[in-house]
Amino acid sequence: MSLSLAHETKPMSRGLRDGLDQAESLRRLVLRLQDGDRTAFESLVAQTQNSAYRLGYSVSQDHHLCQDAVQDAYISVLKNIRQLRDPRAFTTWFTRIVINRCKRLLRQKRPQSLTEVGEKEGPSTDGLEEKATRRIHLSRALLKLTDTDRTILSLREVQGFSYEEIAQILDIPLGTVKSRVANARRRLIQAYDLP
Amino acid sequence: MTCHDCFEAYSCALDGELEPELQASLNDHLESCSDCRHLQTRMLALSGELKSQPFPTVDEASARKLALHALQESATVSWGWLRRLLRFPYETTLPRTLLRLTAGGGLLLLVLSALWEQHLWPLYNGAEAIAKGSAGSGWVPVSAISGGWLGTASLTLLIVGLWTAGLPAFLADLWSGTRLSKADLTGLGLSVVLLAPLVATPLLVPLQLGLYLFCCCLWTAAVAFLIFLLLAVKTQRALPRLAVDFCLLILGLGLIEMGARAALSIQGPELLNTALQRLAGSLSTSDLIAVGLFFGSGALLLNVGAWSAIRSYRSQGGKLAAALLLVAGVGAFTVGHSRVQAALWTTQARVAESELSRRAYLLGSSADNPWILSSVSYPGLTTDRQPETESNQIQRAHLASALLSWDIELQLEVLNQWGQSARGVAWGLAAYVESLGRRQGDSLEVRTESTRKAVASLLQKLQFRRLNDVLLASGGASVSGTLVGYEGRSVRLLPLGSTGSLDEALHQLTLDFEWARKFSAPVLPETPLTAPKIYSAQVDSDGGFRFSHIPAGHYALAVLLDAPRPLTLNSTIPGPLQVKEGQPLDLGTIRLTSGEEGHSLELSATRWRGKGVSFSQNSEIATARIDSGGHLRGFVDTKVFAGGKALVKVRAQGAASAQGVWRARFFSKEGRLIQEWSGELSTDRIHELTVESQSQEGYLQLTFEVGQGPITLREVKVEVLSRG
Repeated sequence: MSLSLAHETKPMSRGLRDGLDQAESLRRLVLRLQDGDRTAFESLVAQTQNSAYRLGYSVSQDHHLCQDAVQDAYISVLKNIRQLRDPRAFTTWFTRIVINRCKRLLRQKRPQSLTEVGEKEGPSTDGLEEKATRRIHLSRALLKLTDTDRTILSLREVQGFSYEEIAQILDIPLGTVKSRVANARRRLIQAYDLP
Repeated sequence: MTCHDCFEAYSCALDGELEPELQASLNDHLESCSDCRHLQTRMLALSGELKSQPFPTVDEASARKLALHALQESATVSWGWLRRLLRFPYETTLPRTLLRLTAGGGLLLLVLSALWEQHLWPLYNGAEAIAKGSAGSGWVPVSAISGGWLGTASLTLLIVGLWTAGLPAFLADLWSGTRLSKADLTGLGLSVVLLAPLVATPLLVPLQLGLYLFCCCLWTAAVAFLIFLLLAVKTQRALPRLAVDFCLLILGLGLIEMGARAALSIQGPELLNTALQRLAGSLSTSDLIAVGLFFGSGALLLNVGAWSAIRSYRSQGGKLAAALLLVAGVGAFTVGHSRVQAALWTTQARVAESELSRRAYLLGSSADNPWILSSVSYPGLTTDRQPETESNQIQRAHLASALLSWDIELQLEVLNQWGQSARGVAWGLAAYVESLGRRQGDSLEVRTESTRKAVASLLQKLQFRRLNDVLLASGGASVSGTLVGYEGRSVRLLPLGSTGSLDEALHQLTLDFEWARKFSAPVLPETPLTAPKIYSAQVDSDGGFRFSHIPAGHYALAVLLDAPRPLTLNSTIPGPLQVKEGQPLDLGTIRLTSGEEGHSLELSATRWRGKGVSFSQNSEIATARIDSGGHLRGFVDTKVFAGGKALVKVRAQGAASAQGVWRARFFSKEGRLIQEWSGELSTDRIHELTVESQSQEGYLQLTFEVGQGPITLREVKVEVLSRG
């Protein structure tokens, strides 16, 4: 399966929680899937895959690993969709699956070296050189963080989940979410500013 | 506010999650701290960088490929075709609906069958008797519960039902890495713990109540330990909580151990132990294992199935409906059970005494006078027919009549006929047959040849699961004799106990009627139908009868006759019998003679006994000739003298020189001599004696002794002068 890359400059959409209509549509798809309607699965993938790839990439900082993790996550959804008791909780449930798959693959596979990141994300044109350099630095800084820090920053900054949603996804108290987000940001600043 | 607090507060503020009351403190700190302002700037910049990161986007074609790939992977991963097969009912609407209905039916059927058998269990009193070749049709014998159509069908339906009711998904959860919730494990643990009494049931039978409870405790402890392991492996429980759980587990196991030790000392009520022993005696080991496995596995599947069925429904209404299904199953069983019980055990038969009453005669009533005969009213039974229960009433009347006939073969035949339409009677028949003798392995030892023949005849028609042969018991002694003129009648030996008193035998005969009446009542007694300990035999066509292997002791011989005519006595009637081990007892020829009030007594050898006597009979008259030195003795029946007077007339004929003496002796019913009258016996005249009974019922013995003869007696007549 091929994966096309595009560099978006606009802020990320708010993912799976955007709009009540989208949530209701997702709930219906989940119910159809639980009742054995395979055609619903394709629609569900179409509706959720971009968000899943964003999350996977931001956690892993690796395109191939992200691709494998998302595939595994969708297979897991198919296997266990009947275990989901509240279809409205699909987003939380699915996000947790993607994160777990990413972490498992990260444990099995060493992350890319900083050099590889720099080479792959190297500048393409002179006009974009400064922006590209900042992205390389950001990726390097993110790779210096722990999986936990990267995960919580991805959930907050990339996926735009609220603290309460993050607490549900990670199954931790709200106060812990606040402190972890702040600590992750502090460590990201330190990692980014270090030479 | 410290710098550390300030950073966290600003982080929250950036995300819009800062409490309003902290905003002022944050602003104050930022104004006064340049480091924090720098960090604030960096944080803001990096947050923007993160949000503007480029990410891969996927088009719709890629989404289709991804979905197809995931569908293929999910269908082929792990178990291949088996997994696809297991998922089939989940993914196809029609089979899912049908199979869910089947699941409900299966669960319901299992509830009904298991509880039905469980409730019928107390009614079971022995190996069931079923017609040969008919196993598997009609009523299901106990041995076929685990392999019969009912068990197979219900278990198959149950498995199919579980297939659609979430059990595979639950097992997959256990097997795969998907974590389980604590509620899932708690539900599973509690449901399995509650199974303990059922799973330990096979152990209950050969054990006492205390050991049964002990086994339940062991089961509970094992389940608790297993659940703890699942909790540790299959949930993401924090280590401190897990440590607390472990401490609670240890505490719980300690309490269970205390309970188990205490249970060992429980003896249980005697009634329960007796019932268990009876149940254990009625079932072979393989049957116990089969029944235990059936109930254990059935209950386990039912429990887990019901639990996972309830779990598989998302809505509260679905859960409630699944729970109500089980409750409805139990309710339906209760109703069905009461009807089955009513059909089996309740009738409205009325049984009344028949017009043809019978009497049981005890031959000989005291050691002093062994010729005196006692009798007990022994009526037959008939029924008031009512259309709705006619068949049952007739069977009841037949059974009651057969019980009073002393004819074992007839009793077994009636029970067999009845048992073909009533399972409870079939079970009763099996218990009844076993009570006729003593079980020795797969054979039955009986005391009389007639019993052996009756049981052997029954064994040719029916199969008893544990009874294959019937044998005559060894030891004891035989008692035989000839009863002239009563071919085909039933005779019986009644044990007299150590005292040898006939009162015991008379009491036993009276009890017989009451005992048979129980089975004529509208509702059969709850006590199992067991044969009374009697030794009976039939008089054959030559008048002979024989009892084999009778234990040593004192007995009275009784004969059962219908017709209310009185019987008189002669010297051939035996008194109480003493049977000695290994010494055959021959009673010789026994003659019973009938007497009629106010009529001439027949002068024949069947009624009179004596020495030097010859009887002759022509078409008109019967005579008895007594030679010199001879004598003739006979009895006149009893009731005519009860409290009144009678005239005994004797007409004699002979030579003028002939002379002799005749006497009349009156005995009480107990054999005590009350009064004696005598007169000279001469020829060609009618001798008369007036006798009175002095308000007692008794017997009159007439004796003619001839000194110089011969003298021929031409008529002996008794006329009642007055009654008491």
